[in-house]
Amino acid sequence: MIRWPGRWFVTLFAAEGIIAILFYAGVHSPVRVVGVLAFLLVCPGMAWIRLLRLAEPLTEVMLAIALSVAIDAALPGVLVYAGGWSAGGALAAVFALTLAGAAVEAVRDARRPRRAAA
Amino acid sequence: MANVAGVAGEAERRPPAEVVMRSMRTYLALSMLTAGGVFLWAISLTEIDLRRMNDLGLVSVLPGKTYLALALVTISFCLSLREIEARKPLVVANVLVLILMLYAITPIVEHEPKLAAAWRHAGVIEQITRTGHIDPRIDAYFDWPGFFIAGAFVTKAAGLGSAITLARWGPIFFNFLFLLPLLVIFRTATRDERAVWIAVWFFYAANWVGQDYFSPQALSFFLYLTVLALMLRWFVRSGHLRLPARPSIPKAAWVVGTVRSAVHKPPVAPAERELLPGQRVGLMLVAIIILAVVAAMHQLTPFTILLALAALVLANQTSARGLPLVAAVLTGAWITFMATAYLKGHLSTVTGKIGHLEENVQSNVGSRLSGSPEHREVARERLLFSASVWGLSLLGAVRAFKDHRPYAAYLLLAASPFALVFLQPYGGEVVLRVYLFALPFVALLASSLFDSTTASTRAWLRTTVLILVSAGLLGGNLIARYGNERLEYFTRGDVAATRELYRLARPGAVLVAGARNLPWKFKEYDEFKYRIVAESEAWKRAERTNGNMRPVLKEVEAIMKSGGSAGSYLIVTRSQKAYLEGFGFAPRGSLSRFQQAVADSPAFRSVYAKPDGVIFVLRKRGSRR
Repeated sequence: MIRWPGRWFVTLFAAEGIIAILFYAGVHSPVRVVGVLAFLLVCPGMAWIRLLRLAEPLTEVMLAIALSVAIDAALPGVLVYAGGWSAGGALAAVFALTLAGAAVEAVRDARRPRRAAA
Repeated sequence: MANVAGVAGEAERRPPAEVVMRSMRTYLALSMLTAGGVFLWAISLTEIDLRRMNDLGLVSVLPGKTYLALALVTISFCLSLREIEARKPLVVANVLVLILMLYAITPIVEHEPKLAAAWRHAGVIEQITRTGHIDPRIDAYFDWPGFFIAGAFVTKAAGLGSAITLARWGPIFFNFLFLLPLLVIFRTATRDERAVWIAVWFFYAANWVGQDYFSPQALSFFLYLTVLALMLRWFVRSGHLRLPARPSIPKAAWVVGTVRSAVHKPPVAPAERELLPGQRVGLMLVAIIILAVVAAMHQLTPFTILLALAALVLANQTSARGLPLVAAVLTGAWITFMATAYLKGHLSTVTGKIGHLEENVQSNVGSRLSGSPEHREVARERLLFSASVWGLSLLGAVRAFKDHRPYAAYLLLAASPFALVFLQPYGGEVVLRVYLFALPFVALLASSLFDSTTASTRAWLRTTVLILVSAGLLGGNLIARYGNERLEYFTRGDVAATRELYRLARPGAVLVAGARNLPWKFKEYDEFKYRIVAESEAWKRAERTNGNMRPVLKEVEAIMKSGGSAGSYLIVTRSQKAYLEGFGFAPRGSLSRFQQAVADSPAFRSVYAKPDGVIFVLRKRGSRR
């Protein structure tokens, strides 16, 4: 299997792209429901939990879901209390935070081989 | 040559073909049992007629096939455990099937989400989605809005018209979700996979309290489990269960010495030693983020987590000594700055019952033993069932104590929720919540009775007892969990009547219901004024005067006239009648008599009349219609 730094980032970026298209195009379908629910339940938290490299898949999934729930409540919560609530805005904020976590991992993975070589 | 000897040795170690075949046949037979159970269960669902249900709840209409299906899966699970290394996938499959069988029954056979509270929660979400604001003046839900904000976000992002679509599948979703932290907790407690899966099995077989519907408490219970799983996995060094050694030095000096050593020697769990500094900081950050979100999500759960963390610190079981303080600050800050609207009006409710143990227990236990005869039977069964589960756990704790197992932290976590009873009656529900918060650890202790340390000569006896105990728990669970089903479920007719109510009513209208049990408030949460007939003074007087409905009609008429130009609507549904009768809030048939009196009164006219729901409005003066 080919492993390259940033594959997780690219996967998340693609998933976010698909969800954004479904969201902004106003597509109402079970695919959107399942896709969005699965993404919001796991991905925002997983992007950050992977940085911890716990090497325990079960625990990672548990923490990823809990952190995702926290992010899904906290970011839209900030918008609501700031008087700027919109589902699109909240989705964009969650997407950005998710990609930020994945980007940190990608950068770290990219640097690791160079350090090892040095 | 060495290779040849190695291969020969391996061949000798390999079990004979006969044994392998026998094992495969058993595996196949057990798999067939599970598959047969699922098949029977699926068929049994088609035979459930909810209309025939009485106040014993779902068990009064469950066909025999449902019990047979559960029995088959139980037998398959217990026999699979005998060789868990070889049959692990089957053990896991049986647990997943059990969760499905226990918690998916009602979402499948009932066409609408159950519980009036679930509909209200969907309404709060709709309110946030529509207005984009949190208004704590509406009610307490808006003081702890974490769940509802997340719900609003998810519902909109997924393109759902209403969160009601999600609400129906709440119980099954949350119960599958709980499985992750449960496994982490149990696998941290013991390396015995048999004990792990028995504990999981016991948790689901004994989880009757029904707090897994679409609600803040269900989601925050998952977060509670996650925080404790994280702590136990990395930051808790659970001590052995043993009686404290008798101090040979004077008592006061011994106490001081113990406290000093507890303060100066933080116990470091072996897993924590293996963590890199970054991992340790990261995990603590995750715990703090979760604690912050729980503080904004639910009233009771933050205090339960605080009690659990404080118990671990006070008993010197954890190195994360600052976490209870962080939890206390986060919880206190939320209440002080964000939930002031609630506190202003309810300070005496929150603090007035602290220390009133007897009163708190009475409001949770004694007052629940009321209602119809069948309902009282269910309430008694719940007490007996809960006591049996705790008794089983106590026996398990004795066994763990005898075996010097490192279960001290788990025993603390099983006990710490009980402190809530001293603080609050929580609307008569605190004992239910205590039961739920303690259940994972209660289940773990109970599993000690059946784990792999039992002598192999008694293995069959152990399996037989496990089957019998499981059968008892599952049977008891069906009665306890679904004992209120007639009062909690909504028919399509109940929902159709309520939807018609919202179609007719304009914002600002007064909506009057016979009782509070109906699927309303799921939209335009703050747009209407809500009134309940059975909670009016006139209704209470009518009960004392042999059901004379005339004064009640007068009061309802007066309430409805206050609606002004926006109008008023009176709705009576099947669910309201079942609720009043089942809980004994009114004599049997009294709401039907009230409905008849309204229909006969010249002051009202019906605008919607179906078998499960009617809607009345005031007749205009001088009008025949």
